[in-house]
Amino acid sequence: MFLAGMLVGMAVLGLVIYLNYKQLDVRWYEWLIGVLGFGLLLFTLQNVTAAASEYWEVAPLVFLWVFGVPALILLAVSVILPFFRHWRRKQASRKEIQA
Amino acid sequence: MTKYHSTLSRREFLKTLGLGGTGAGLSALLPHIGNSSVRDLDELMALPIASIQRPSWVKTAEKPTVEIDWPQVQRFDYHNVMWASGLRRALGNEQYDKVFIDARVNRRLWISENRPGSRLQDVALKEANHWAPISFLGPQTSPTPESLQVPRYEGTAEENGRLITAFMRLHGASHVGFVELEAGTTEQLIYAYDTGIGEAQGPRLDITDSDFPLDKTAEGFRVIPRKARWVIVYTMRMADELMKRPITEVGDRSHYYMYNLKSLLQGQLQNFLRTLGYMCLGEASNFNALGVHTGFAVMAGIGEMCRIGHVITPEYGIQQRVQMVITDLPLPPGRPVDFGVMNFCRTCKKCADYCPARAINPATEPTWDNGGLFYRATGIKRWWLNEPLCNAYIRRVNGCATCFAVCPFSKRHNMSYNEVFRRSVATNPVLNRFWRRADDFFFGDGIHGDANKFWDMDLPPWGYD
Ligand code: SF4
Ligand code: SF4
Repeated sequence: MFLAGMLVGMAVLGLVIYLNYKQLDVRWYEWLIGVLGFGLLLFTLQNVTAAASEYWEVAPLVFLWVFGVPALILLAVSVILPFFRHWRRKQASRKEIQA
Repeated sequence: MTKYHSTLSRREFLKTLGLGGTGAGLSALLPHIGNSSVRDLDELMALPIASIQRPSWVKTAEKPTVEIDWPQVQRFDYHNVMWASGLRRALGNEQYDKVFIDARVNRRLWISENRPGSRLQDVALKEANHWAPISFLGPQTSPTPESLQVPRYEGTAEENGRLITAFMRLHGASHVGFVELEAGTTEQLIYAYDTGIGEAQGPRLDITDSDFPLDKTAEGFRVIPRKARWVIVYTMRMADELMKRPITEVGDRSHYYMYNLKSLLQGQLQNFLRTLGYMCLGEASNFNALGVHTGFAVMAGIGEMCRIGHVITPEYGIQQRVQMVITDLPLPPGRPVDFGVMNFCRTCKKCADYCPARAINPATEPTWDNGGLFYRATGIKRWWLNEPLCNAYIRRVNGCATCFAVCPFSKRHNMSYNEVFRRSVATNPVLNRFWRRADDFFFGDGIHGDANKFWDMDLPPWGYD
C-alpha cells in the first residue's frame, strides 16, 4: 500500500512537471477522466492479482476485461484530448502566420 | 469454601500463580505476537488478539435480523436432528439403510475411478481424524484455586471477556462471543436433551439451582446450575481451498479438521476456567451438543443467520464451524448484528439454485410455518431446509456443502471488489439483485475446479492466511 502510494505520488508529480514543461493546458474534465481511469486501473490490477491469489481461474480475466479495458479507454481519452487541442492550436497559429 | 468466593484482583491472582510480574513461566507458553513478547495475561488481554475489530458497516441491532417468537421456542431434543435418529425416522429403516449402502458403493467406485477429490489419498485425508477426549465436565486435569490454596480469580465482565477472547483466539478460535442465559429467551436455546451416542437418546439437560454441575449420563440426565449463566460461543474458520471443492472427500475434510481442533480447544478452555476457579460445561460430543449453535452465534453478534440456517459472518461468510460452552464466569453479552445478510438472502437464492439435492427452499420470504415436522425447531421465521433430503445426500456422496461453496459471501478479503460488495449489501439493499448477478458473472458457480489441485497448492498453515 505504502509503495503503491509512493509510486502514485511520484507519477502525479512527474505528470505535473511534464505538463508545465510542455505548456499543455488540461481542462478540469480531462483531469476527472484521467483520475477515474487511473482509479479504475488500480482497481483492476488489485482485483486481478487478488483473485489470482485466491485461486480463481476465470475471475482474474473477467476483471481484466470488464474494468481494465474501460480504464485504458478513459486514460487514453484523458491523454489524447489535451494533446489534440494543443496540436489544433498549433495548426491554427501556423495558418495565421502563413496568412 | 469461603476462599472460593473471596475476591482477589486479576494481577494478584496471576502473581499468586506465578504468572504475574515478570511471568517467566507463562511467557514460555504465550506467543510472540508481532514484535511484542507477551509476559502475562494482562498484556495478552491488551493485545488486539483479545478483541475483534469489525468494519464500520457491521451495525449492532436490538433484535436479530432473523425473527424469533420466544414464547413459541421450545427447548429442542437433539435426538430429533438428522445426525442423531432424525434421518432414520424421516426415511424409514429401508430407505435409511440404502443411504449407507449407496455411500459405501459410491466411495469404492470413485476410488477405483480415481475421481478427482475422491481418490484413496483424498479418503485418507478425510478420515485422518483424531479426537481429544471430550466431555460435559471437561478433563479436570489443571490445578484449581483450592489445590493452589488461593482465592479464585475475579474480574469485571469486560475484563473476563477480553481474557476469554485472548485465550480462545490464541488457541485457534476465529470469533468469540458471549450470551447471557435468560429464562424464556436465550435459555430456550439450550437443548432439552443433549446429544447421545449415535442414534441413541441423549441425557436430559436439567437447569437447576444446584451449586455444581452433574454428569449423570448413565442415569439419563446432566445438570446445568442456573448460576452458570454465560455461554461462550466461538467459531473456527475452515479452509477456503477445501470448502470450494464440494462433493469430494477433500471438501468434506474442511469440517472434520475443525471438529478435531474443537475437541482439543474445548478441553483446554475447560481446564483454563477450572484453574481460574469457574465451571465450564462443554459439549459432550465431537460434533454438536449442548445448545443451538447458530442461535447462540446470532445472539452473541458473531453473525447473521442465512437461508440455509447457518451463520454468515462479515469475516468468513459461512466458512466457519460454531461451538459453545457454558460457564459461571461473568461475561459481557454481545448484541446481534445486522450487515444485510437476511435481506440479501431474500433475493440471492444462489445456494438454492445449486443445491444438488434440491433441499434448499427458494421462496423469497422466510416463514414461521415449520410444517409441524418433528425435526424442526419452533418459534423461528426462517427458510426451512428439507433436512432429510439434504442429510441423505450428504451421507450418500460422503460430504456435500455445495451451498457453502457457492454462497457469494464465501470469498476471502483480498479482492477490493469483495469489500465493495459487502459494504453495499450492508448499506444499500436496493443493489442486492445486481450483486447476485455480478457474483455469477465474475465467479460463476463459485466452485474451484479440479479437486486434485488441492494437493499441489502451497497453502499456509490451516489452509488460510
Ligand atoms: S449440504 Fe448439499 S444437499 Fe445439503 S443443503 Fe447444502 S447444497 Fe444442499
Ligand atoms: S447463497 Fe445467497 S441465499 Fe444462500 S445463504 Fe448465501 S447469500 Fe444467502
